[in-house]
Amino acid sequence: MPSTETPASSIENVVGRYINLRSSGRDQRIYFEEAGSGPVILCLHTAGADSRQFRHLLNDPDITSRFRVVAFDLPWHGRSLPPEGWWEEEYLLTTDAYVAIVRDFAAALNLKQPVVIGCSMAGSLVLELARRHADDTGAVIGLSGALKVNGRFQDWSLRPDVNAQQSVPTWTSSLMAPQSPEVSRREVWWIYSQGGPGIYRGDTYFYSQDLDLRGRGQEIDTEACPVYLLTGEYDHACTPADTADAIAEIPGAKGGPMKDIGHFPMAENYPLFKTYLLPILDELHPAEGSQDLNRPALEGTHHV
Amino acid sequence: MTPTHTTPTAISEEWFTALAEAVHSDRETQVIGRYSDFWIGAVSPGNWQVALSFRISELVPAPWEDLPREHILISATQAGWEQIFDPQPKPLHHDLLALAKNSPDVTVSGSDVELVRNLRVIARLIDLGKALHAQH
Repeated sequence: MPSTETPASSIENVVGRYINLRSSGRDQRIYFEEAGSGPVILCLHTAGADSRQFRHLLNDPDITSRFRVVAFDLPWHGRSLPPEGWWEEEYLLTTDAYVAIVRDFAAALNLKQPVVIGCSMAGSLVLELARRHADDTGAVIGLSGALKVNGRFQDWSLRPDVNAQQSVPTWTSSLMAPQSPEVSRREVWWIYSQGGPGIYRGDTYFYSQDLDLRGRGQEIDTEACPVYLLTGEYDHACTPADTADAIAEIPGAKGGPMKDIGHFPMAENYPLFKTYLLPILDELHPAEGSQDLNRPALEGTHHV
Repeated sequence: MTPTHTTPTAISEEWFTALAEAVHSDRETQVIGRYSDFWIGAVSPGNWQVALSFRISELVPAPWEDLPREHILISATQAGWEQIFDPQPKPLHHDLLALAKNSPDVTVSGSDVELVRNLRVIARLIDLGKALHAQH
């Protein structure tokens, strides 16, 4: 029954579905969303969060008119359930399991040569993907990622006298730029408030403990798999200096700091992040009729 | 919030009375702070120190002697306090946790558990302080 003042409504083109697959020897029911058509952009969310962080990218016709954008929730996150037996184990994400689930998901959907965009822990994970599997990864774009990020793995969120539903999102909100739109910063907070107990901590085990690519940057073949690394200048978890170290160590890697933005660029200020993303996508997959095919993305300082 | 003509321009013991008034009239703090109960020791070494009690959505400056054993201690130079409440902070100095890492002028100590347990309200208090400071 419509009200007298019918509200404006719209149905987004984003479609959500589930896929059942096995990964690391366990059955997984994975939730994913997608929109658009063309070369695949595979989006990987941050620690303790879910694929809603990419809703702006999924809804951007400038992107979806050229690319098939796919974002999924890791097991234990968002609408993907934890595997059977989760109640008897401590959740600690390992590099091997993380690489496996990304590749198993891509294989299950038959995603060929995806451009993989990952943020935060996934911004570092994409470097390991490029190192191990350059042949079947189209390119990687790491946001807030580095060869090693220290200090994020802490136990306090498991304490029964700490309300992690409030403290974890506030802890991570600290990493955003204050000038990012308030409604977006609050949305990042909200998504974090919905993480399961110990999941943010378990993800940071990968981010700050298990993965250490220092001294291994030379093993990444950027001719086979181009690498772009972008980090917001307000990010004090993975600082622009951390990312600069990675770029310096990986031959052929491109990128640098993003001005006026923090740790969650695609979620906290998508319009600004888009100005950094589009030149990279144009370089990887030039748009039809592009007048600027020879312009290198992110050469020099940071912003094209 | 509306600063009174007596609101000090520099961060001081008296300035926190103005912050307490801002907290009292802030709708968000009234919602999120209803069940909070914690203490902050705020110090500018050699200048001033004040105990701040936050309880049932209200911030109350109190004598230093009232500070209980479990508390959060924020010690900063005058420049450090200006950084904490800077409404237009520079990157990596834009938040209390960022300043604790990156500013030699700001130290956060005391109970880590009290800090993370009450971080949501503390972040709001600092935002209110930034807004108050921006008006001068």
